[in-house]
Amino acid sequence: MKEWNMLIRLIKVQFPAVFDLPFLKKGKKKLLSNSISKVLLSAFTVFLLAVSFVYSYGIGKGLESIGRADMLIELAAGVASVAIFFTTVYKIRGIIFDFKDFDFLLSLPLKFTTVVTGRLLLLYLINLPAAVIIMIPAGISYSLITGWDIAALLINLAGMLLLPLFPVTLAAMAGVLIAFIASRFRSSKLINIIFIFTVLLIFMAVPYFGGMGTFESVSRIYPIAALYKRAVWGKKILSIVIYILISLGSFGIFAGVTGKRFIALNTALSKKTGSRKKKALKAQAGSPFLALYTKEVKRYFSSVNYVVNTGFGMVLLTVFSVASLFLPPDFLTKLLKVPNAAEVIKQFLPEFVAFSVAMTCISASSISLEGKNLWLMKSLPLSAGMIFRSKIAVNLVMTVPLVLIDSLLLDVGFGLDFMEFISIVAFGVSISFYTSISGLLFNLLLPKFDWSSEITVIKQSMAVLASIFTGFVAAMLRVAVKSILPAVTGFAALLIGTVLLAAITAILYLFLRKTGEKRFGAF
Amino acid sequence: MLQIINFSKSYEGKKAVDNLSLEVKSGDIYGFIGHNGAGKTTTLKAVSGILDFEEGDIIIDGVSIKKDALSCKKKMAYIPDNPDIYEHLTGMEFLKFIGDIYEVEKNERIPCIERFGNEFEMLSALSEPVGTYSHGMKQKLVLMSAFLHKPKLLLLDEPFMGLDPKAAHTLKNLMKEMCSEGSAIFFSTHVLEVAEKLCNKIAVIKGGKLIESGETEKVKGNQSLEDVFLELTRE
Repeated sequence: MKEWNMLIRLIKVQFPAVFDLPFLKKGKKKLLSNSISKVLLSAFTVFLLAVSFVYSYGIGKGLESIGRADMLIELAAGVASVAIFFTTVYKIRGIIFDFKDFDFLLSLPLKFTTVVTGRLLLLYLINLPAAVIIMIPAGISYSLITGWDIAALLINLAGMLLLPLFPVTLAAMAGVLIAFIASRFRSSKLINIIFIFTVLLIFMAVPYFGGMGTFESVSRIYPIAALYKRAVWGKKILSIVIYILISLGSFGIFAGVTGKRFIALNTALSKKTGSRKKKALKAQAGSPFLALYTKEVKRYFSSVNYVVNTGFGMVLLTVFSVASLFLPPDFLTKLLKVPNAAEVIKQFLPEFVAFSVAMTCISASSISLEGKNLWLMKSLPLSAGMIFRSKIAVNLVMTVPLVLIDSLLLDVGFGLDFMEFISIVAFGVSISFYTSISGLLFNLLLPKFDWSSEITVIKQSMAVLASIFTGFVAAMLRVAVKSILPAVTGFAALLIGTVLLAAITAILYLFLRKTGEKRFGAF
Repeated sequence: MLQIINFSKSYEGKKAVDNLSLEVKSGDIYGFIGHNGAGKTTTLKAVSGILDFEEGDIIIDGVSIKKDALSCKKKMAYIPDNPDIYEHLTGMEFLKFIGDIYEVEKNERIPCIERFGNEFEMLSALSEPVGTYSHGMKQKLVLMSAFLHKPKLLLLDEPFMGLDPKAAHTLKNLMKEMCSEGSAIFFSTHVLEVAEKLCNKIAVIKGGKLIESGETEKVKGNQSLEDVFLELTRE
């Protein structure tokens, strides 16, 4: 009982450090009052629930038309679990291991199992909103299509609460394994980054290359989704028991086993790379901007979390662009089970490139990541403008060259004409500038310096969410222009979208220079 | 070199520093003493340009930090009590970073790094990442980075905290050497014996207000600095 109370207290104390919610912070100057923040958050949640409902109802109706409405819940549970796995696997380092208050926490009279359980429960709580946002609308959609079943809806609510446990445990196991293997190598961080990208890409590719790619593949790849459906909507007692046992059991076993070896695992995973080759002192000099830029690049590549969270879009784009050179159009049709798939994909290449770039929001956490080092930036003879430009430059260098190279590859792979190629490049580059500048601006408006794990600013901060969200909206500009001006061609719509985005970016940059510098000075 | 004129700073309506004025001249080693929370760090941060303030002014070598913070910062170095620095850089990379920011000439860097690296016994650690350093090593590295660009004004917040006796001795010598060459040092400390022996001037702050300042000999008279401090700060 005592350990249980300790666990609750531990979570209560650590919760505000992990969740970037302004109203959880005490005694800080806030951009928005607590009540306004709560209203905005509630409105955003309702918006997400509404979007999720539109999607699940649409998919449900589609499934109904082919006589497979029964697949909806299974599909939703599968999608939620995969999303949770994806967003958790690279959080393990930073949340379970290698977090900042590790020494303090371990000096407290607590069992290691309690500490690990507390950290795992934090991961569970981080992922619970995803389960809620996917499963509640899915349950309602399913009821609307197949008829109301109040008992099933209630079991769905309870089942939804358990849903994140297994994917979180699975991701934790994968994350620990990857980090452990990587720690055996000299360039452990690089190996860790490569492993995580590989696991994520394999995870994405398996349904297609495994000859599946259909709705049934969900239950084949992830049987828990089918079990969830049988337990919740089938109300089969045995399935309910198995579902609970798998969810709680896997979580408990992982917490127990990891707790037993916590110190040893943490020592192995978080060991600092020392004893680099002794270098002779060399006199090298560069400009202040170059020094700042180099510092930013080193900061970026020193963090597995930072690279994996912001780099996946560009990795995906590059893998896809290279693959386009080797995959013939009829293979794509077979693989995706979509008639004339290559032509369909070709139509949406600008959006695909733009989405990939919008995910690369390196600048959106770059100010927050200064954290306790902020004093140094502020005490040095550097203008805020130069600091901003160095952070923007890193984001641009990580995206613009790849946009150019990948567009060339896509040009060859899909046989694009010159205008199509130029439009992809122009839109990709303009969204790259937009993401870099807006991300920095969002971070200046919504900073978080008192983090104990960098993942909380890289992945969960309001600035990053705002940057990704508006980036995705910007990526859909052509579609928006097309819907407002149906008479214009797709190419003209993309051109208008590009110009519009460039204009918005220029305004944001001016705003950054004017207001951002003042704000930075006031931190 | 440094003039603090009627400086006040409030946090949420409460005055952390209230109407503080003092002057640090070239060649001064000026000690700043007071209880925890008396306003020492707030004052040092404002002087270094880290902290915005509304009331009063701070002049560095004739230039107001409010009007031209950049040129003021070029002339000084600030070292906080807990120097959190970039853990992903090696010690050498950090020194190169600071050298580039302050535009230290290429041919001046290596002799400086070699000299201070030897004096602080840090040369062999410079190729290691800062993340592997102890608190004291980080402190030494930040001190080296400050001496690297030869500031006219050195601001130190509790500089002896975490330093081993040898490094503390080295620091005292370097401080004296700097000031003999015309620079000025303004530093906070709780180690009154060090302040008494090292500083030619002392300021005592209590509850955000300057209660005593001037030449060390005059401030302490025939008593020890500790006795004077306890007497001045008695409730």
